[in-house]
Amino acid sequence: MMSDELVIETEALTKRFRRRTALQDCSIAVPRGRVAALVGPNGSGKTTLLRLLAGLSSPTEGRISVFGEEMSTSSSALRSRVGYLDQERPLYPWWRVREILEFGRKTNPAWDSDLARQHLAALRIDLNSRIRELSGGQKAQVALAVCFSKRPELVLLDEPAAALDPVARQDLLQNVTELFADNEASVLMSTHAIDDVAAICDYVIILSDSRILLSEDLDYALESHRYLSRGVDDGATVPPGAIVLEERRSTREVTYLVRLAMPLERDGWRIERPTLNEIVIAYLRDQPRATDTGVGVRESGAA
Amino acid sequence: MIWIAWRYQRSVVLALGLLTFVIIGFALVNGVTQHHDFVQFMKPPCRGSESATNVPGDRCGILDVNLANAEHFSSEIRFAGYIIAPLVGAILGLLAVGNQLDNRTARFAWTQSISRTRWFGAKAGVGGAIVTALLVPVAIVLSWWSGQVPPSNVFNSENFGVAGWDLVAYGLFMFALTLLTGTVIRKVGWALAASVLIFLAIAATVPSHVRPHLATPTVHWSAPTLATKGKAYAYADYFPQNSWLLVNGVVSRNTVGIPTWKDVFAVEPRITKCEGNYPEESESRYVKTEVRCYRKLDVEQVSVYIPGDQFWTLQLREGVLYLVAGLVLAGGSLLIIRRIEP
Repeated sequence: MMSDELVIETEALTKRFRRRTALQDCSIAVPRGRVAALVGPNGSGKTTLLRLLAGLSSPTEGRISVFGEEMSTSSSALRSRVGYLDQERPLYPWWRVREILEFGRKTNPAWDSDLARQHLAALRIDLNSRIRELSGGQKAQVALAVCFSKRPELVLLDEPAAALDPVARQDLLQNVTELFADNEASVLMSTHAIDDVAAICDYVIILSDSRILLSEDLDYALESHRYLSRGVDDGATVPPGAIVLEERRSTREVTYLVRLAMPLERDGWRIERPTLNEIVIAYLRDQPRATDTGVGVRESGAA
Repeated sequence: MIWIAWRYQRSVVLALGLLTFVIIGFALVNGVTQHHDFVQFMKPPCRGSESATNVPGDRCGILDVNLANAEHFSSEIRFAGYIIAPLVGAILGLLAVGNQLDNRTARFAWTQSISRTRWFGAKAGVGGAIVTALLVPVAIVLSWWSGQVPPSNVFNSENFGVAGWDLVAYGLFMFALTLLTGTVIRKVGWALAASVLIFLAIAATVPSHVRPHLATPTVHWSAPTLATKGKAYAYADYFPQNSWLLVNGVVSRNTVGIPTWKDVFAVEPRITKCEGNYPEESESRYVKTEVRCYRKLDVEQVSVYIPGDQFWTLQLREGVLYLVAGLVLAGGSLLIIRRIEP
């Protein structure tokens, strides 16, 4: 079930660490029920944004709203509705898995003990194992179990599949879908490997160099971007309303990846649909010029 | 939250408990044997060292050697008493907060449905309670032990800290100090180094600059007299045994308030100058010269001291001072924790 109620809303969000700006003027609005992918290269500000949303840090400027309420480092009631999986999985290394679950039970009023135990039993993770004895994938699964057993309405996952082997990565992402998306929780998951999450997300946020380049429904993002190709000798310009993100030229043909602001007339163009990965890469490659125009795009008619 | 705070540090608490148990056991055995040997040694036929010989089998000689050995262990027990309080406080304080910021597990705790204030309250509360529970038995036993070993002044810097309840206050202060340094520095090693330096600086300053002001001293004036037969001075030192002598010397009779060493040093050149005006003569004549000078300069001998019965008052006041400072440090730590980014 999806609604247009916003689960995350930020306005002109800026975060600085001394002289370094980690986030600059970021405004996003994610509706409830979405599985959103937060995509960007390393150091783009993904973790900073997630930590701000999780109430682990405070913005330097701007506003963060989660479920319509202001999120801050002291919003413990609001945090009970938010699950957060840290990139480094900072679980107590000397504790046993069952003690970690007990920690979750004692610190979360809506804790579902059975859910956590069933999940870990299905993965054959021994509850008496110490955290430091677990593999990276198992540790991530324990952290995920703590995250979903508090029954959050919003889940923030920071690189959930990072440093995992392909099988563990596949399993974890599958669990994310089953545990959160299928239970109508909203998910915001950061990654720099869009292929991993393309199949499960329905909303995309592209972040680069501390700025938001794109934030919209995945279907809309896919429908509003096209490859336009034609012969180099045709001399035609890019259609009006099309914003060029990427241009490729060969001796015979020129191809543009464009964002369309209005329906496109074929007009001799060969039109192809880009993948999410191609769209993301185009935005990230074009990022310096994209930020100049404010919406991550170049004006039409550039050709 | 109490279970969580306890679980996080229980293995360290057990190790520290074992350490305190060893110190307590050692002090108990040492106190009992040393007291027994001392009593025997002071009674006839030994009567102190008078009858002790090096002859093998000489009971008084054996007691003398035993006491000398026990005295050696006394230094170690005192040292352990001084070390254990800040050690327990530092380890548990760093474990409570600094360690979790250093290894980033605070992020895990702070993204659950509990407030940072509650988290810190549980950590500081349980940690403080454990510090108290570990150190109170040590303080009780060392206080008893101080009364068993051959008498020495309880106000001596080597005795004061282990002869009363301040040992617990030192531990709690160090605990609060490491809560703050751990919060600010966020690296356990550096936070420990900073805490030790600060604690040593405070421990070196308090006995000389703060402790004397925590109790009202007794001031004893003595007029210069020739009645001190057999002594080479014109006055008699006066302060009761087991008291803490703060100032002892000759000052102007017009001194306002409680005399200080500054007042003593102020009149010294005048006395020296006065005495220089008289030719050096025999010892008895020298005393007369001194008396003459004192009367001429209108100065008197003064002893400023804190009587032995003020020991527990002093312990209480200094302990409260450390505890209040510790509360301030813990409060500062909480204020920072509510704002920082783990």
